Amino acid sequence: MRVLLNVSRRVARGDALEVRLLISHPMESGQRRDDGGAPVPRQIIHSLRAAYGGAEVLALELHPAVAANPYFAFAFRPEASGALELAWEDDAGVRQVERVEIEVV
Amino acid sequence: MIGRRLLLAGSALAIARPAWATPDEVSRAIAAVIKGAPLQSGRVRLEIAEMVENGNAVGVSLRAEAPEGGRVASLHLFSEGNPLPGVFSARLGPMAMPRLDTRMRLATSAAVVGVAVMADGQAFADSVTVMVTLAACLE
Repeated sequence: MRVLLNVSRRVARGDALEVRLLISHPMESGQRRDDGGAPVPRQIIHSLRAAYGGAEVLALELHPAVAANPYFAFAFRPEASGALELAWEDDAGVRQVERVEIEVV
Repeated sequence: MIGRRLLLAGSALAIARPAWATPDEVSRAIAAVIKGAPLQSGRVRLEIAEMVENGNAVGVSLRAEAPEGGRVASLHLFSEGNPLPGVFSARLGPMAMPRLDTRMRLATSAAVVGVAVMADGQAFADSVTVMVTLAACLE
């Protein structure tokens, strides 16, 4: 899955850090039929988790109503330098992890 | 005794499930996350265009405000405009700001409902009716 992750590598102590994530994924809803009339099986990213320094920031449960090539933006307040880890998994069992080191100054 | 005709009628009903989540299904999905708390207004704000041309990817922003000394525990988004009521459920850790932006599908014009549940169990909702002039392609 191709990923666009937009996050500052440096943040001032006490400030919120904005995270923008765009994942290339069809988010096949499971509601469509193909040209032959056969149902197209659901294939969505069903869960996504953001953790910072090992602590959970955000745990997302997703449904087929999330648009294709899902986009998420959220923010959190890191207290000390550490690693932001974003991990998600789709219905095919494909799991992906993105890791970014953040410096709190 | 269940007659054959009745059985047939039953199976036809099972197949012909409504194309879109009903207000009732959305209410039940909300009830499952608010766990009996009364749904209050305020403290949560749903931002989404009231009229969109295309329901394939509608930008939506859900933000909440924690009560004094409290914390927003989770944010949830639902709609009546899709086959299933849920869009997302987000559990927030103590570091998270109480906000999530994403893009959603809308198969038809419908009410979109955002819900915030506070750490003390209080629940708040905001709703916007979105008119879609072209539906998301589900067929």
